[in-house]
Parts: sequence; C-alpha cells; structure tokens
Amino acid sequence: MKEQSKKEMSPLLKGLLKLGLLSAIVAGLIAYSDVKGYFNPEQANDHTKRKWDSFYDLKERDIHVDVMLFGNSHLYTGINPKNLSLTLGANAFIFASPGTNTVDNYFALKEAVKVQKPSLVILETYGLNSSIPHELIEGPLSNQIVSFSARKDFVTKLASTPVLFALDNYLYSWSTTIRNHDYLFTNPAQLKANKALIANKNLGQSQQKGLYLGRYVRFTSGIEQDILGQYETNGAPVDGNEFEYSKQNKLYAKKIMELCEEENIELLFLTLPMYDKHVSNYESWNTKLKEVLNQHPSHWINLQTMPHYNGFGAYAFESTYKPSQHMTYNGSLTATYKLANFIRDSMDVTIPDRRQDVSWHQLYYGGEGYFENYSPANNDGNNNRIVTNKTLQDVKLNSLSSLNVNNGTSRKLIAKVDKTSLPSNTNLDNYKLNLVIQYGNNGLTQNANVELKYDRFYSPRGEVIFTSVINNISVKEVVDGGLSPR
Amino acid sequence: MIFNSIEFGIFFPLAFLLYWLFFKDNIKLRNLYLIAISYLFYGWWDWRFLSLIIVSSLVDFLVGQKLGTSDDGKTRKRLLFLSIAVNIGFLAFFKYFNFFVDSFVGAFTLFGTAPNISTLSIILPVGISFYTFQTLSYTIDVYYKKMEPTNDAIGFFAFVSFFPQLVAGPIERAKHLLPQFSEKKTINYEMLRSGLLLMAWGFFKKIVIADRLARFVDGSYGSLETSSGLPSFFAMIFFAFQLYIDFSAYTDIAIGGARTLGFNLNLNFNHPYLSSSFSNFWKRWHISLSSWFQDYLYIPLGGSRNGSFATKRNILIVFLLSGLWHGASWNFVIWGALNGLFLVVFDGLLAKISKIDPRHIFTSLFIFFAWAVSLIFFRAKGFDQAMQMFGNLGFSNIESLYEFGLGESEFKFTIFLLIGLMTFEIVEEKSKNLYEWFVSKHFLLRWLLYLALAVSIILFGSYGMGLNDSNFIYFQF
Repeated sequence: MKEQSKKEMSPLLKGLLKLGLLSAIVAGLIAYSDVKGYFNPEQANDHTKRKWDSFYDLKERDIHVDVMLFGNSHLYTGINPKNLSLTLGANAFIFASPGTNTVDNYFALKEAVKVQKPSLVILETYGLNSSIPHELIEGPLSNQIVSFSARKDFVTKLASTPVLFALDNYLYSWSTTIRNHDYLFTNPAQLKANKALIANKNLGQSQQKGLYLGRYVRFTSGIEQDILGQYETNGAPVDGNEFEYSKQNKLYAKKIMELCEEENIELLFLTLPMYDKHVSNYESWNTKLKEVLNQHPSHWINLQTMPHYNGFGAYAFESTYKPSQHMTYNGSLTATYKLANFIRDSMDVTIPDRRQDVSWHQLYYGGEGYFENYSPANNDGNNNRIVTNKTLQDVKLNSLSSLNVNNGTSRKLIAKVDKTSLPSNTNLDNYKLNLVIQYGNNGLTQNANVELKYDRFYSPRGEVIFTSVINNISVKEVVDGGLSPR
Repeated sequence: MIFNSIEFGIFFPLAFLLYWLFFKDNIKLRNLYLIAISYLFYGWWDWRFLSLIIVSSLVDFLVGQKLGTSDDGKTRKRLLFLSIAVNIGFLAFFKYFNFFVDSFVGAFTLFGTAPNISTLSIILPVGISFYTFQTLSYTIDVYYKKMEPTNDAIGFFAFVSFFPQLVAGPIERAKHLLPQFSEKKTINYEMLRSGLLLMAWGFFKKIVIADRLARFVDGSYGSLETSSGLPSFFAMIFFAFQLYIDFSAYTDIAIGGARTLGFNLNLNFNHPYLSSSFSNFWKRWHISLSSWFQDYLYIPLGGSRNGSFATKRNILIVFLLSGLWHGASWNFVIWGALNGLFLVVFDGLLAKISKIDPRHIFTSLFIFFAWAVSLIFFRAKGFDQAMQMFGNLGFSNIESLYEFGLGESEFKFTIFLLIGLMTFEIVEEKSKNLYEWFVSKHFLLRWLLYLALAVSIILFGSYGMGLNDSNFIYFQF
C-alpha cells in the first residue's frame, strides 16, 4: 500500500519540482535584472536613495549619527542638517522622503536604529495626516515605493511590506523590473541609459562622497506679491478645521514613541510652519495634533505657533497657493537654529559634544554653515580669523573672519558678536555693524570703514552674525567699531 | 476573485496542493472541499450572492430528485416550471428588472404618459447568466429523461459552483460534467503539464494581448470626439480581437485549471476567425452557449424541421435572446439581431463564394468584418454612442493614431502580436495536434518556450500601477 501511494505521489512531485525550478529560474532572472538595475528609474534626482546610501556609507566610515530626523518633503526643505549639526556640535541626518507619512517614517526609523543608535530622534508632524499607506498615488513610481526602494535592510522591508502596500503592489514595491517593465515601450531612453551605466560599471557611483546629510533645497525665493494678493482676496488655502489624521498615522506615531522609549532614545516632535496667512483656524489643527502627540509624553516644538513663529515671514516660504507649502532655504535656516536652540535650552537630552573633535571639524570644514558657526583654522591658506574677543564701543566682537569667495575676487567678512553684549530687545534688522579695519596695500597699512549687515538667518550659540562682502584685500586688524542704526 | 490577480496567484496553488495532498481519496470529502474553495473564490467578490448559488443548487437538486420519482406529466411540468422560474427569476430580477422597467416607461412615454415606476439599485451578481444556464441544463435534461437525476447532493452543489468555470463558463452540461464529480481522481503528469501550459497560454493572451488591445479600445471609445477616422476603425477591429482573446483566455485558464484538478471541461472556442460561414462561426464561437441555445431553444422551437421561413424565424428568435442574455440593453438585442440576420442573409451567398474561395480566405475576412461591425453595438455604451462610432469610421486622422492608449512602438507591437496569434491559429487549425508535436520535442526547446512565455508575461504584460485592474469582459454577464 505504501509503495502504491508513493507511486501516486510521484506525478505531483515531478510536476511541482519542475514548476518550482521554472519559477526559480524566472525569479532569478527578475532578481538579476533588479540587482543590475536594467529597469531602474532615472536616479540623478533621487535624493531619497542618496540619503540611505549616504547613511550606510557614514556607518562604514565610522561617523556616528547623533540626531536623526524623520518626515517628508516639509522636513528636508525645512531643516538644514549641516547647520543643525554644526550648531549642536553633533551629527544630524535627515531621512525624509517626499509624500510619505508617519507609517513610512516608523519603518525608516526602525531600519535606521538597526544601523546606528542616535541620542535624539526628531519626527516632523506633517506626516501625521489623513493619508493611508495602502492608497498609493497612481503612476509609475509612487512616493511610498520610492521611499521603500531606497531602504536596504531586507528584514525591515519584508516586515513593512504588508503594512505599507496592498497585496496587489507587493511585487511592484520589491522589483523595479516588474514595476517599470513598461519602459520597454514608454521609456526606452532610460533602458539605454541604464544599460550604458551597467556596461561602464558605474552603477552606484552616483552616490557622492563627502558629507551628505539628507538636505534637499527646492525653493530659494520667498512668497511673491501675486500670492500675497491671493491671501488677501481669497483667504487662506488651508483650513485647520478640515485637518484630519488617519488611524494608521496615529497608531504609528505611538509606535514611534514606544520604539524610542524601548531604545532609550529621546524623541522630539517638530512642527514646521507654513506662512501664517496660508492657514486659517490653526488652533483646530493644533488641538487635533495634540490628541496624537499626547499619546505618550514627548517633547514638541511647534514653529507654527507663537512664540516660535516669531521671525518667520514671507521670505521663509515657498511662493504657492497650493495647500502644501514648503520652506525656502533661508526659512530652513531660521527653523534650524530655532530647533537647535530648543534642543539646547528646553530639553534634557545628552547629545555627544563633538566640537573638540578635530576629525569632526574636518568633516564639515569650509562647507555650508561652517564659518557661520566656527572660525577658520590657523593653517587655512584661503580663509583666516582676524580677531578674537575684541571689545568695541558698545558690543563685544567674539571673532571676525575673512573668507575667500567668488573664486578669490572678493572677501566675505563674518563678524560674530556676543549676544549678551547687545542691548536687550533690539531689533537688529534696523542696525548695522560698523568696523574700522586695517588692511595691507602694496606693503602699506591702511584703514577703511566697513558696514556689516545683520544676518538674521544664522543664530550660532550665544552670538549674532554680521556679514559683508568686500574687495579682495588682506584684512589685518579691527581698529574700532560699533553698532549704529541703518 | 479574478484569475489575473495576486489573490488568485496565492489561492490556486494552495487550493491545488491541498486538493491532491488531502482530498483526492475520499470523493465526498473532495467534493465538500471543492464546494468550500469554490464558495471562497466566488465570495471573495461578494459573499452575499453566494446565497443565490446555494438556492439555485438546492432547488435544482430537489427538483431533479422529484423528477426522478414522478411519472406524472403535470407534476413533472410543474417541477420543471419551478426550476425555470427560480433560475430565470433570479436572472430576470438581478439582470433585467431595471431594463424592463426603463423600456416599459420609455414605451409609455412615447404615447405621452409616463408611469411612475422606480428602478432599483441592483448589483449584477458576477456569473449569474452562466451558472443559471448550467444548472438549468440539469433539470431540463432530467425532465426530458436524457439523464438520470443525481442522489449526490454534495456532488451536485460542487458541479454548480465549480470555481474554474463558475463565473464565465464554459457552460457545462450536467451530462458531461456532473458524472466527473463521482469519479475517483488520480493525478497524472501529462494532465498537470497540459493544464498548466494551457493556463499559462491563457494568461499570456489576457495580460499581453487582450489588455493591451483594451487600452486602445477604451481610449478610443472614451474620446469619440477626437478619435474619428482611422483610430475608430482600429478600435472596431481591435475590439473584435480583444473580445475573442480575452474570453478565450479566460476559457483556457478555466479549462487548464480544471484539468489540473482532474476535470475535463468542454471546448469553448475553436478558431472562430477562420470560419467558412456564419453558421460555422457559431459552431466555433462561445460553443457552450451556442449549443445550449441550440439544444434548449432552437430545437424545441422546431429547429430547421418546418421549412425555410420557420427556420429563419427560429434563428432570429435565438439570436435576439442570445443578445439579451449578454446584457440588459437594447444594444445587445440589436447586436444579437444583426448576427441572426448575417446568418440568415449571407450564409447562402457565402456557400456560393466558397466554390471560388476554397481556402475561405475572403469568407473568413468578410465574416470577421461583419462581426467586428456588429460588435460596435456590443462595446458602445448606448445606442447614441454606437451611432457616433459608426459615424467616426474612416481612414483619415492617421496622425492621431498613437494618441489613444498605445504609443507608436506599442501599437506596432500589438499588430505584430495579432499577426503572430492568427498565424498560430492557422497552424493549429491545420495541424490539429500541435500540442502533441510540442511535447514530443527536446526538453530544452520545451523549457525555452515555458521560460519565454513566463518572461514575456512579466516583461510585455500590459499591467502596472498606472493602469486599472482589467477584469475579463465576460465577467459582466
């Protein structure tokens, strides 16, 4: 009997084995194509992928990330990670991906903490909205798939698949070949470019070495007159009364809180602002947001509300009447320093202070925001510190640096004034810093007056900054100076 | 659940494995299992409508039982009437209620009065036209004593709900399929291989060809204001191919799937676009429905026994009802009537032409074009759209040909696929045993084809995140 049943099973086994082998070959071919990247989308502008590549690269280079920020496009346009790092004296990294929500942020955090454990996690709250992860935006690449594809940890990705995607989209989320197979007809140029890239073995080299911390600037100028006019005539495009959050986003906000608690990581919620005339009935929005954030005791800085909103103006926001308004580069600097000050002044969190670490300075040296926070090194041939701790007529000048700009045709002077030496409640926008500088000219030493403008976008620790761009001269000393009305 | 879905991709292998591993030896248990998975398959769409299948099965099983024990003509007639009333009643209510109310109101409106009768928001249960016809064939055959009634309720319920052909046929006759539920099944490799290959071929036809044609047809019908001329002409031709390829693909998957479970379903399509006459076309197109109408309507009406006029009248009645079977709309009635007229008017002429066209090349082309023209009524949403489409037909506007869902390269690829498919059909028609020839070839060649089929579906399939889920056309009936 046993022999007979064994015989009966054999056609099934034979069939299954052959079918299994065929399926394995097909799956292997698809996986090969995925790994090679034959059907990859255009990646020159894929900053989400670049972020994760860079994050893993930092791990390999033994650079520890102390502050991790999660969110969507509002975050990567609203916070400047290099300036945040420099002012905190730590390493801050942004994991934001466009169009994503808190559910996606949770899985990004989960993967990130597997690689490196930060001291502080910051979650931007714009992802706490009514979106549902399964509802993908139609198109060849939905935002959620972009974010999912950029992540690298197989296990975390596997665990997140059923949460982030409906069953129909599993294959699309995992395989670029399946997702973009239509390139054969719709985008042969991309296939050709991918093929050339593979042939040149350049795939993966798009990742820039150096220090990429997840910044992505999209808007450089503020709100224009026509949009300001629309606010007057049509009112605000966003009504806080209509704000809703999905139960998934609420749940995953709580999971983020729990994960941070389990990992003993401090958590801070950050609400980046939109222009105040862009949103009506914000209190209603704020109340609903509180319902979510109060699920667990955590810190929260809401830059949309006073006093934090102080200092933001039309310059800080994208010129749009669409509901989703992002911040400009300058707006992001303002927000970044407000965030840093909040972390320092209002949170009891221990973030490693790397300001004494030479290798840390080398990472950031000369880059975005460095000289606004630190002085040039003594051995820097292009940039130099002229004075330190000099008391002028009515203010204390902590330092004056002269930087090489415009390919050596000009110098930028950055004067850092001790905040405590300034009269209290002074609106510095109405003041300028006058300096009498001594400079060398054909072997002679001469004096000149220089006016430096207040730079409101940067607020390094305990200092305010005044800057000016002057001719390419060799500044040797500050003879005198002081504040005066503009 | 539709065949071309991830859900089915998970459901079928699991159902298949459990079936052969645990349920093959005990017939009763196996049939119970088949009922369970069939109900799961159907209920995935809307479990509430399972009640209709259950009531239909129960009524027809009990009617069959009673017919088996009663010789009284009156009682037997009442029993048959009960079965027809329940099945056609379901069909009439769910499919035709609104159509008849609208038509009734419309007719009265012509005479200046509009009766105040409301239509209902009725959902059409998927596949209702198929399984009601299948279960009716059982009671009618038992009534006419063409078969013995079954005493096996579980087997009968499994026969009515058998998932591979439940929602779009083939409409199986009880005489052919029901006994298979009483047979012991043993798996054999050949059956498995041919079944899976047929399924793969069906998926290829559906995903690679039919759904690609659908994009052009939908795009063109969706913007009739701009698609006049050649785009509309191609939409007409492409829809004729889409309908055939889509429906025959479903049938291939159904027959292949049933075969892997040890069941043999009837052929539903036999190269209809190579027909030598209109009557020949209907012997090749949707064979299970055509033969159902022939056996249960045309022949009881008198068939061709009562002279030329009665024959033509019977043909027209069958085609009108066949049109109405497809959908509750006057467009389907016109479509049915047109095809009845083609058969009545042209078949004599085509018989004469075949003497000078022995290979039926021009005959087949003529039949195809006549069929494609009639399908404008089948595809259009309402009479007005059909008329607009007729007005659009022409050969101008070539410059906008690639603006209706298929770009230039994809359009050309589609033409290539159609030529390839028709060439394959001609070879298959001539050789008759193409499958046997194929399986006799070296395993490398066979594996190359399996691999090509699978990879083609993935790479050339018309699917993706920007495209809508494409159901099989005949699911709506």
